[in-house]
Parts: sequence; C-alpha cells; structure tokens
Amino acid sequence: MALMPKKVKYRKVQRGNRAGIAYAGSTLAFGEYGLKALERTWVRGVVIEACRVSINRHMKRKGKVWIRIFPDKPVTKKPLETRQGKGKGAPEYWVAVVRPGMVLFEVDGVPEPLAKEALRLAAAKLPLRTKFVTRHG
Amino acid sequence: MGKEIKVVANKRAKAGTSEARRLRIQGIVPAVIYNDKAESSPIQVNGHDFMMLLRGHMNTSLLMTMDLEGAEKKVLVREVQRHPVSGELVHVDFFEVSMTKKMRVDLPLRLVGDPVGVTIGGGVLQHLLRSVTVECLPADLVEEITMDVTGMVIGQSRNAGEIILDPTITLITAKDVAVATVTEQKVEEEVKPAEGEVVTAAEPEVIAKKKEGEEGEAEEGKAGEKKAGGEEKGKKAPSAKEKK
Repeated sequence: MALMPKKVKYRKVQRGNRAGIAYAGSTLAFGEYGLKALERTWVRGVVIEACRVSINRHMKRKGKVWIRIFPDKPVTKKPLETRQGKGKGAPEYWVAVVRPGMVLFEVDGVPEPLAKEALRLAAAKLPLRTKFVTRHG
Repeated sequence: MGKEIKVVANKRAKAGTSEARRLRIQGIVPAVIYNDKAESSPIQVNGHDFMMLLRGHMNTSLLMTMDLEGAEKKVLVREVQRHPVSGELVHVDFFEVSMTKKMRVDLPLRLVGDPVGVTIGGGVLQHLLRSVTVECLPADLVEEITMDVTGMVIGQSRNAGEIILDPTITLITAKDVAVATVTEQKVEEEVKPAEGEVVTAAEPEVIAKKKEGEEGEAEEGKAGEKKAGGEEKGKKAPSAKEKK
C-alpha cells in the first residue's frame, strides 16, 4: 500500500514551488548510511514504497531502515477524453516534494557494502540522481 | 591524544556575505576563532587543506595547533558548516582552549562488536545515542568513545552510565540515557493484490470546515464523485452570461 496521509485539511492543493535546496532534512539523523537527493522532483508514494521493499529485500530483513520523506501533496488529474474546464480533476496520487540535499532513506545495523548496494537498488527506482552518504564522511 | 594536527590560518580583513562568497570561489574557507572570554576574530583557512585534515576523522571535535600569522594557538574545532548538496566547506568555528582549564565537548560514541542477540538471536541492534558530552582537559581529549556491545541479548539495553571512560574524562550526559538496545526483528508481511484486482488508494479524511451549503457536496466528493458538482457549476456559468 502506497504511503498517503490519514487526514488532510483540503483535498486538493496548488502545485507550489520546488525552488531552493534542502537545509532541513539534509543530514543523517537516525542511521549510519543514507541516500541523498541531488535533484529536485516530486516522488510518488508508490515509488517510495518500491524503494523500501527493495532495500528490505536486499538487506534480507537485517538492520533498520528509515524513510525520511512522506508524500503529503495530492496531485489531481482530469479523466481521459474530457474537455477542458469543469473544474479541477480528482486527486490521483500523492507525492513528496524533494529538493537537492534531502536525505531520502537511512539505513543502520548492516555493513557498509550491504547498505551501499541496498541503497543503490533503491536509487535505481527513483526519478532523480542521488548519492550515498555516511556519517563518517 | 594522538598525532598533533596543524592548521594554518590568516586573519580576515573584510566580513560579510559577499566577501565570504568571494573567498569561497578562491578555495578559501571563512572561519572564526573565539575564546571563553567572548573575544572573537574572523579568520580564513585553505579549504582543500582543511578538508584533507578532517578526512579520516570520526568527528570534528579535534584539538589542533593553529598557526595564526606566526602566533601558535591550541584550538578546538567547534562547528563545521557544509553545503547540503556538494558537501563543500562553508564555514568553520574554532574555539581557543586553555590547556589547564577543563572543557566540555561532544564526542562520538561508537559501538564495538556484534551482539549475541543479533548474531544468534536474529535481533536488531539499535544505536540510540551517537554522541556524549564529556568534560576533560584538552590534553586528555580522545577522538571517540567506544562501548562494547558483544554480550547484549534481545531485550537488553545499555545506558550511558555503563560507558567505560578514562579516569581523566568525566561524563556529563545523564547516566540513565539509553545508548543501545537489541530488539526483535519485525517481520513484515508483504500483501500482494490478487490477480485482476486494481489497487486504488482511498482518499484521506478531510478536516477542513465546510460551509453549510457545501456539506452535502463534500460528502459526495469524499466518495470520489465530485463530477456532479462540477457540472452544476458549469450550467450556472452560461446563465450568468445570458443575463448580461
């Protein structure tokens, strides 16, 4: 099941802006290793879930994984073959706004090569360039 | 204390964002040095050289000998600011220490060994506290503090009070703070949708206040049938034009 909020104040929101770089959430807070975003994009809830599954599968359920982003922004879409107008479409999926510098996933309790490979597999599913980061630099 | 680390610094004449940016372009990192008498002065260090000094060290709380235009000073790196994306040095804080005065510093805490609860029991080691505050003389400063977790079993946890420290170092962090714990591995079940079943995400609960007239519509909207409401609005619009 893809990630999405339990309660929201409004069903639909405007697109907002993705300018700037991430200062908050740009350092490792929980684990020893992490995956840092180098580009800005929207990441869908299903993509985050796919990354989580691939990390857990590669680590064979050892260690611990933290997901540092959450898809709290609804994206709407108009049905196919509809004319323009008639108001904004229905919410279709949820996205997390990712800015460069944001730590997306963190891993701990596994050796570095294993963590690196697990995060590489996760990075392959993401629509942005990333880099592997560690606490010891 | 291990090998002595030397850093060369120069005084910085101009302050301000623009000047700092100009320095960074040239590969120089703006820095500041201050002491416990609240005296501070802006300085600058070579970015590449300083980056090389930090490489291979667990933490940035390092005692260094600074050569500040001929004058030697014992300094401690208090803060290293880095760019969130590139990781390049942005600014460095140096604290001038007195070798006879005790100081408080945060040191990284590293767990050593594989717990029995992980290797045999299949649990997960959780590292809860990654740094501890200690008090010591600058000469007694160590780069990191280690804690042996080999004997830990599932359900067991270690507190800060159980850290074995050198007699010259005093622990300031509360002794009852948990440092590490071994917990059972949570086995998550992967729910696969049945063949032909389309996974549709249910909409979350909307907590915004609605106007009295819109309440009925909002409920319809929850069920994903906002279409009807949209059509009504569409019909009203041309009628307004007709009036004109």
